[in-house]
Amino acid sequence: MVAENLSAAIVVENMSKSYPTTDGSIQILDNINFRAEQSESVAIVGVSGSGKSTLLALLAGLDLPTSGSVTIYGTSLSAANEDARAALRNKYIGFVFQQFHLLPNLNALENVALPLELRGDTNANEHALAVLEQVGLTSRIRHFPRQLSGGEQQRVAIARAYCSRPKILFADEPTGNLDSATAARIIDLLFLLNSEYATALILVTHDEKVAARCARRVRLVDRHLEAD
Amino acid sequence: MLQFVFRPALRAFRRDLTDRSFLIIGTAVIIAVASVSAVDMFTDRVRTALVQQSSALLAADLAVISNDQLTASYAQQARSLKLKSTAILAMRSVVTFGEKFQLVELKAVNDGYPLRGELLVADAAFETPTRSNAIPTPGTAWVEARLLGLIGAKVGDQISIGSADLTIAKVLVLEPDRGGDLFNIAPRAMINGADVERTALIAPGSRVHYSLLVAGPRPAVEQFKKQLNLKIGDRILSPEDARPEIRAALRRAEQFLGLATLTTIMLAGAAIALAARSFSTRHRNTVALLRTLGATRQYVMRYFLIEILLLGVVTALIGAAVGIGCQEIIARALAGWTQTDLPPPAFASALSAALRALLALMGFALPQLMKLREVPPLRVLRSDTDAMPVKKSSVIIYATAGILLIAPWRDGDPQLTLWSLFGLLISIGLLIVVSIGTIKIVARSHSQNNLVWRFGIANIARRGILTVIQITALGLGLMALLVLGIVRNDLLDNWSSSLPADAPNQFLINIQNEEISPLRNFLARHALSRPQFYPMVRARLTAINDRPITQESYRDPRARRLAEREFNLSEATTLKPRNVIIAGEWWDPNTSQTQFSVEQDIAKTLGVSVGDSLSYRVAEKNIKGEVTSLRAVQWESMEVNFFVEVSPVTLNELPATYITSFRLDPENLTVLRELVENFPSVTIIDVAALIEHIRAIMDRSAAAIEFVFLFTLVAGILVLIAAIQATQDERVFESALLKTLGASRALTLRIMSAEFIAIGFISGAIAGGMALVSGWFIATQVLEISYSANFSVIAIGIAIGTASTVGVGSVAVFNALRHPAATVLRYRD
Repeated sequence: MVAENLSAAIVVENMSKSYPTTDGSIQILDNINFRAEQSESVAIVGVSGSGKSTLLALLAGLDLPTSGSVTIYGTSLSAANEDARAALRNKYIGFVFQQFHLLPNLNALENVALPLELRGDTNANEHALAVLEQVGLTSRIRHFPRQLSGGEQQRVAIARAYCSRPKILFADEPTGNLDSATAARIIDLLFLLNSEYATALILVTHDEKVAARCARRVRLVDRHLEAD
Repeated sequence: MLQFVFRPALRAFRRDLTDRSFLIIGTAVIIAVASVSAVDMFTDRVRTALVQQSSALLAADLAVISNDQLTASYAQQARSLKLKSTAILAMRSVVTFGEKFQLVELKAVNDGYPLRGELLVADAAFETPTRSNAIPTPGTAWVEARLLGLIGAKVGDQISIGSADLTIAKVLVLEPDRGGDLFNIAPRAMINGADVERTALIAPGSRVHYSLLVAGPRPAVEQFKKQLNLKIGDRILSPEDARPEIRAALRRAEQFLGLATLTTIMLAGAAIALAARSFSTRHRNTVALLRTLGATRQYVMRYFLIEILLLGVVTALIGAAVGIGCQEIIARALAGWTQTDLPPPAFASALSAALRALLALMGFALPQLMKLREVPPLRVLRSDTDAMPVKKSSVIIYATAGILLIAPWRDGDPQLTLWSLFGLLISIGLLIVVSIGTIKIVARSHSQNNLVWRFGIANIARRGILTVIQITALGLGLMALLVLGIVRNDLLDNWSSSLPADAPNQFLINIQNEEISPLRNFLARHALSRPQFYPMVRARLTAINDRPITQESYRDPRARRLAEREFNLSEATTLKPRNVIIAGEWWDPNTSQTQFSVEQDIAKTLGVSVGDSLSYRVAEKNIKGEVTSLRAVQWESMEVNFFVEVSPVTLNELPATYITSFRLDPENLTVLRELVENFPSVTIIDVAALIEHIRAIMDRSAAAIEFVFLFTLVAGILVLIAAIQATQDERVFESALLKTLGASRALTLRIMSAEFIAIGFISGAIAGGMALVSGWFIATQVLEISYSANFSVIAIGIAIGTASTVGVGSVAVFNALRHPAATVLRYRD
């Protein structure tokens, strides 16, 4: 079992999350158990407010569970401090967000190279260029986010996510801010790169059609995770 | 790790150059450094020039003086250090011309005299003087015009001094080291050192003052001073004291410049703190993303620290360059402030100001950067998560440290800086309390108003802490501008009135009681002002609180000199104009007790305070009384004033002479010749040149003050912009929201303007009120000038506050309204 957990991309055991409020605490997630293997694609679906984003934040170590554990390639996130979790994210994890979250002061190339720069990679720009080529944005590398369309911004974000060769990619409603034609192209791109880089893809979405493209789907219902 | 951070930070620095808060921080640093370095360098240059000028008053950079013949080793030592030196000798003696005798201050000089300053001589009495590069040749004497008047001689006549006969070759108009009290000395006769022996005046027991004058490069002079092995009884004189009148004028100018600089720094600091807050608010998302992508807190801290440091270095250097340029402009505009040329500026002080500004910048920006470091990565998913707010105490501690670092300690007096800081903290405290109170009142009373006011005013109450910050910052900026505006005007008015165009420029002393009436008639005949005559007696201070006073009672050189010399005591019934009692009370005019009123500086030097008893020896009589008041005297007014005044009746039956002063226009100088002929025993002291000098200092100080005030003005405006900027993003978002909900552009603008007007009004009113109080405090307590409250300041505060908030704020909202609401809403931070 231990050996199996070590090879798994993510292992979540008995994880719960609650937030304190003035009227007592609110339970968002209750006793979640979840596992994703290397290069597996998993969709987490659920209605708005069901706690999908909270679950994603916990899986990526952006937040800590109230109880239970999250392990990424054998390293427990709960035991790591804030900076160690940041280092772990840099090493294993890529992100694609609904709001794109590109830095407005950096151009496309610089945005894509950022995770590698944080790692101290001196060839960050070369790697970034290569990925930008893959997402078809070679002509737009010097453009700043405000000069790019929504679809282009998301492609830059995807390039940034894959540029650091992550083992796990978290995508939070990646097409939520895009029109349906652009959304379809973005999803194609996401899955194309996912298979090419053999990344574990954890996709949070409320779009059943997008979810259907993943190998496995889990549903958040009433604070619990259920297999679809 | 540093190199990984440096490049991204450098890139961020370049890209953020278009960010408004970043630009405000940079501009604030430029202004602070420019202002500090310009004032530092300029006052340093003036001070050095004054020291040089004081050297002229000593005719040397240093003098060794003694009542005994000086040892030859002093001169040898000066030579070995390649310093110029010359010996002089002074004593009292009597000049004989025919049947006439006159006591003179005899001075024997040798080649090289004077080492500093210049000698002015004329060919006959009251003729235009010329500069002399020589000294009297052996066998000749140069004498003052008033000696000629007293003994009835002219140039070319032969006089006797001791057993030597000498020919009067020139009229001595000015010697640099005339020094001492203008009113205390007998006329001067100057002879060549080679003639001293011939006079046979020096005998055992005669009172002779020997001096060795030394001059040369400063380090060598310092070295000489250090190495000197002084014999007992010998002492060193340094060129430290300029005339009190000039010192007083300069001190005020320096105080005001110090105050203006300090205010500029505080305002720049406030602008930096506000802009750093906006900067950190705007960069929260960047930090959240960086941390999501794997940046550690240390990385984030270094990233922003380097970025801010880069901004600091670049802007501090620009500020230093601007400062160097500005001080040169001031120096050129004010050329002639000092009689000598200004020495070159010390550029090191610009660099020091730049360095201190960098540290201060860190003081203001660090709390915000530390907060930025703590932004949680979760913010990428949940925009409502944020770092804990910065502790107010840490903001205050860092900001105070920042101000203390860059404050002009060197120039102004530290007390002034400390008082200003204290005043600043009190003002901020008051502004916060009053703004919280006002918001509470406003929040309760808004329901009756119309829609525009209801929205606008509700916003003020709703923003809570942000409104408090904004009102406080706006109020602070406005207050500083108003205070400086008021004080500056008061100071300049006070100056011009303290030295009116008809200020007396001729003093007459040694007037006998019976000469007062004829002298009055003489002056009236020549259509000159009808002056007042003040009695004075020469008295020696013998004891304070019955403790005998000698030179040895003091260590301070000035106190030692004062203990040695005779004072002029004058009797007064009422307090003279432009004298202010600063301790104790002026006496009852009908008092029969002996009471003293002492000028504050001399009281401090001698360690005298109200309640002490003073004993004076006047002729053969002792007088003793209590010090019942201390006075501040406006020496630069050039009125007749005395260090020590006594209550009426005290001087009755004592050998008093009288002093008076009047104004004489330069074209009427011949009147003086007639006066000397008619009143040979009266001594004329011509201070026209001194008055011109003081007037020049005042005029030029005023110009320097106006110039430095410009920096303060820009810093003040910067705070206003930063304060409005602090809530800008929020307002822009709200206007977009209102637009989405159907409000027209005009209505949205009106709602926002209502808020701006209210904030401007409240800040302006509070600032105006506080400016009145601070202006009163600074004018009366710091600068010691009169102050009349001008309540229109409150109205001016309200007008500027409202106009600036509405002006700056509306432009931004107007710009925001041009963009589609959806864009604004989507990209909201």
